[in-house]
Amino acid sequence: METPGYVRSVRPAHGGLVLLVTLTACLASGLHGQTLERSPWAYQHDVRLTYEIDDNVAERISDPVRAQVARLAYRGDLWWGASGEQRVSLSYQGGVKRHFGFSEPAVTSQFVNEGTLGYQRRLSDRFAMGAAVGLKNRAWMDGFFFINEDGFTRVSGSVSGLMNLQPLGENEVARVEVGARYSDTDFENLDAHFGNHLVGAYASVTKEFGTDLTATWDYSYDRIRYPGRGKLEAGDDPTAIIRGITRDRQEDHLHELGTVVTWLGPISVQGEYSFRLNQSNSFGFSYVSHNVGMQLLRRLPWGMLVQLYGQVELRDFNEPVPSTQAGSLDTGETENNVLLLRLVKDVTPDYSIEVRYGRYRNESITLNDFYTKNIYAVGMNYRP
Amino acid sequence: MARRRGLLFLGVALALLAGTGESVAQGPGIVELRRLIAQREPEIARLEARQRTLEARGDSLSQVKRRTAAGSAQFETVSNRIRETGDQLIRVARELRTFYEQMRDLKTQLFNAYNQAIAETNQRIERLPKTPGNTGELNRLTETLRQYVAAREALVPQIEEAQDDLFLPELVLDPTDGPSQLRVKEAIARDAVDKIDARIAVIREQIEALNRKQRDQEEFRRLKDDIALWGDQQSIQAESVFEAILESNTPGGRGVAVFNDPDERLRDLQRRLIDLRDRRLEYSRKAAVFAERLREFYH
Repeated sequence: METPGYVRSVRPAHGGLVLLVTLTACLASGLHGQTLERSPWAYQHDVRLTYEIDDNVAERISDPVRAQVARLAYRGDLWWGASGEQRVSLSYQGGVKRHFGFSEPAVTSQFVNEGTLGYQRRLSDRFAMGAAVGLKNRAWMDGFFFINEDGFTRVSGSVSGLMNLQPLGENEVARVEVGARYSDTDFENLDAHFGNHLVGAYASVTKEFGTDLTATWDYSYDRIRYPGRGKLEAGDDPTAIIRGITRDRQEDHLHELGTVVTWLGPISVQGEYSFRLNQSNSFGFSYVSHNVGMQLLRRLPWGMLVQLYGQVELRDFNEPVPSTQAGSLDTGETENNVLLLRLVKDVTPDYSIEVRYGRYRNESITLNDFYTKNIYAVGMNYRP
Repeated sequence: MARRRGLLFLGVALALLAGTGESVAQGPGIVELRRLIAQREPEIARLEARQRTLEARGDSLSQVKRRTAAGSAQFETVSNRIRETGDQLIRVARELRTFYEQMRDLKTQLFNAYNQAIAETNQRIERLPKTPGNTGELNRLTETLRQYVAAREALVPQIEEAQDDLFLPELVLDPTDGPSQLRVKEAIARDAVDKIDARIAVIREQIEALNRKQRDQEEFRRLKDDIALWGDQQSIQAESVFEAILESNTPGGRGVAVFNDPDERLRDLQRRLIDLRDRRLEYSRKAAVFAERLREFYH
């Protein structure tokens, strides 16, 4: 089913604009850099500006529309008690995206804001507890939105316990983390299709083998409820997924087992693999998938570096897939095939410029239908 | 003929290899190395105390000499005593240097011996059948392993400190120094600057390597963050919501900082670099002063 490229709704995003301006002002006023002496405060932040040509900006399955896109993004992490018994962290990431080259109708700007507040406390040399709350909001000016990029608000939280394992050698740090998590996602226009509540738990083991090699193994289990989706039975009309208000609601149980290995050397490598098993009470939504990802980073002469990133998901549905608008919005739960090539040149220790090529083949709003897009970008990074 | 020569060569090589292996295997054990270290510690303490006494006496005599009229009998007596004290200081410093070098070698050997013991204990643990009857033995081996690891960790800063010690001589401008002493002192000061430069280069390389790794981790994270922010890839985004909240699972993330400070190593290297720069400045100034005094002799 072909999807419309855009829809109008009514909620503007002036709050996002105000927040972004405020944070940019904070950045301009300048936090002072980390000093040699141990300070309770630590921070990292960067600003990224890119100008892109996107050959399928509305993420359509057919009849793609080419446009130019400018993005400005900021990321800031602030820690208090960064090396003490307890620490508070505040992480913010936000940005604005503006399209050019669309004449009919005018495409407005998109704002994204994401903040996380975390707290960790070391109870002993071996044990620590942590908790965090997060909020992410995406909104378009004047209520405009692309069908795959509806505005949304997500509230999330987690609690976790960390155990520092006795190292068996120098730089062989190992730790275990066990936690529970929650999230609630509300879409502005398409909430009936995609809004969901997630409750889950996770466990992970991370071990550092010397200073260059780190490996993480993790398992998570999440129960995801879709209050707007009726449960489908075999042979049901897919439209019943929304209309069946008397039906049971869709509920998925998602298990994920994964590993991430990072090696920092002349060519730095980060490899990821995860296995997902989704068991849904709704016919056609259960699947298993294998996700493989790889990042390579190589230093080049003249202060340059090249980075390659690729990710593939091989997904297999257990039952025939219903043709319904219950696929993926760009916030969530599923599928990706991505290839990115990035070349960065450091102009000064703080500034760098980059060129980037990305090819995406992702699931569209229609379940198990995929769109393809290519993005050619030039950009600048500032990391004070 | 050639074949026989080849066999002979092979035999000699094997004998040498066997000999090498035996000498490694027969090196002093942990107990012996610790005994040798413990034996030297009081002697080093005694010599350091002696050095401090002699330095204090030298300072005091120099002050007396400055107050004494040149050419008087007392001036000559004090000058002789300064020379004697200086000679004794040189002997003590030489002995101390020898002891320091011995201690550095012994501690390095001890570190290697702990490494070997840790590897052997690990192998014994792996080989031990995991049965209820072996629980006691397993606990004993695990405790032994823990002690070896802790002892080895305790040695690391001592070895690093010893490697950092450049044994830089104390160079003091003495009013009685003649051209030959000044020339020697200037040469020693310039040698010290060269030594410090070499150490600075090593530490700079270490800092650069740490910064490079940190940057690589940042670039890995930056790309993922960027993708997640705009929703270009959903699986990353789901990850960013939770795992990155505390970042304890992210290599290079700061979640681990609740247990240990990931920037401590970098700060330590930067401190050492600053200290070495100060010392370089001090010795280059001393070299300039000695050179200046030397020029004054000839003008």
